[in-house]
Amino acid sequence: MIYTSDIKPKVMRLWELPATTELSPHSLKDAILRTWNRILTEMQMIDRNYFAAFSNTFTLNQDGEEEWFGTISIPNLSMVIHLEYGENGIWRQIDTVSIENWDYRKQKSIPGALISGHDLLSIRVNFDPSDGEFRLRYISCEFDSSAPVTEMTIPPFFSAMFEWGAAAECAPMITTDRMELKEIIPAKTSLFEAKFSENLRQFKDWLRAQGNKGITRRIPANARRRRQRWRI
Amino acid sequence: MADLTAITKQVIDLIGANSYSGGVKQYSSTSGDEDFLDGAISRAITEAKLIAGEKVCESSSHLKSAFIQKDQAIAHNAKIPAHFGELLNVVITPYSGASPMEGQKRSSQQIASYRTNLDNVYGAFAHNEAQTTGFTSDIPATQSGFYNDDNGIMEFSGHSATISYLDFQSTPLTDYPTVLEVPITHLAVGLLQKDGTVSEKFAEHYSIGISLLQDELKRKTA
Repeated sequence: MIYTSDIKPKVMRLWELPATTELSPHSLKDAILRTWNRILTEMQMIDRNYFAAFSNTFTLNQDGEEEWFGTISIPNLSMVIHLEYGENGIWRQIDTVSIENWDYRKQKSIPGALISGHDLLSIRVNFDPSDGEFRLRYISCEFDSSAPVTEMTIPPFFSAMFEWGAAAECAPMITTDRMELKEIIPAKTSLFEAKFSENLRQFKDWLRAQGNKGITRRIPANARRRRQRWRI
Repeated sequence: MADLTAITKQVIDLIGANSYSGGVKQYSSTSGDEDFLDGAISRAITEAKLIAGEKVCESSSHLKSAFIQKDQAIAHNAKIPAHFGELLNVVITPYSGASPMEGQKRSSQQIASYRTNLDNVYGAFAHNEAQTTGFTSDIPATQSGFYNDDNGIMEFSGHSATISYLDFQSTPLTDYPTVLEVPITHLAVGLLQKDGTVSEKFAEHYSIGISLLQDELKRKTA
């Protein structure tokens, strides 16, 4: 865990302790937040399920003919992976379908779910779920923009990455008449950006080295035949 | 150390005054003037002392040490006493009981920010506290040990500060180096010249005083 209270003085030191009239506490917070967003985005884009989560279980109510509907609120939702339906403790994945395929699925009685919205998700299924319950597998964005961020859930040995990143983010917000500070802004910003990029690369390597397997593609049964036809 | 009585006697001798008695006008055989007061003589010696003191401070002579006011305690936001040139050094004790450290100059805005530590941007500790967590021994707060002396006001971050500076004005003549006695005597005689005095002796004495002073300031040792 990395705490903003630890990052702030280190960023100020990297900028050689400017006055708070030159780099305000608000700007400093914004810079840390932006850095956290950049890092979170990197984490979201790597298939290591760093923020994978299950929702609480929920049930749906009948809403029209052969349709069951309900809503579930998931704060800090980044993206839904899939819906699961469970009966007697046995869970199975329900296909998520697009709105164009919904009627077709209903006509053919192929189980499927239509999921829409964000944060407050609307979920509609085309089979009778009255004997079981649902849960969602999703990726959390681990970030609530309405709450003050005081801690960031990555290991403390990556705090240097944060310091370089936040220091670089501060550069455009420094306002000063002092020449000794003005003169060092461009050089320091370049240095901080370079250090941040280097640390971010290491961080991504670390993410990729996590134990859980990433997404692997199954080779279709007819792959070989298809490949040969393509050659012809 | 310089002897004021000896200097005064020599000045009276050099202007050819006929007696030395407090408050009484003295006749000068040098200028033929009857209006040299004790007060005028002592004033000339004081001015000569200031001229000599300033010349010493401007030079790189070791004689400057006589005018150093060393490690004078000063409060935050206090006026800096009259001094010559820049402060020689500023020593700050970052927190009560800490080892003093050489102060580093920062802008007035920075010092104000360090002391306020708005939103703990410089860390969890105040400017005059020790950092007590994460270290085997106490170390000063990040933002302590800085000062600003612009506009003659001392502002600093930390527990307390002392300053050292050159001050020839408030140094009494009796604390001046003995080697300055002769130059000061001649300068004082030169300063006793009045408008309309025809004698060139005053100007000669002034020149001698300056020359002696310059020779003295060139010396490497006392």
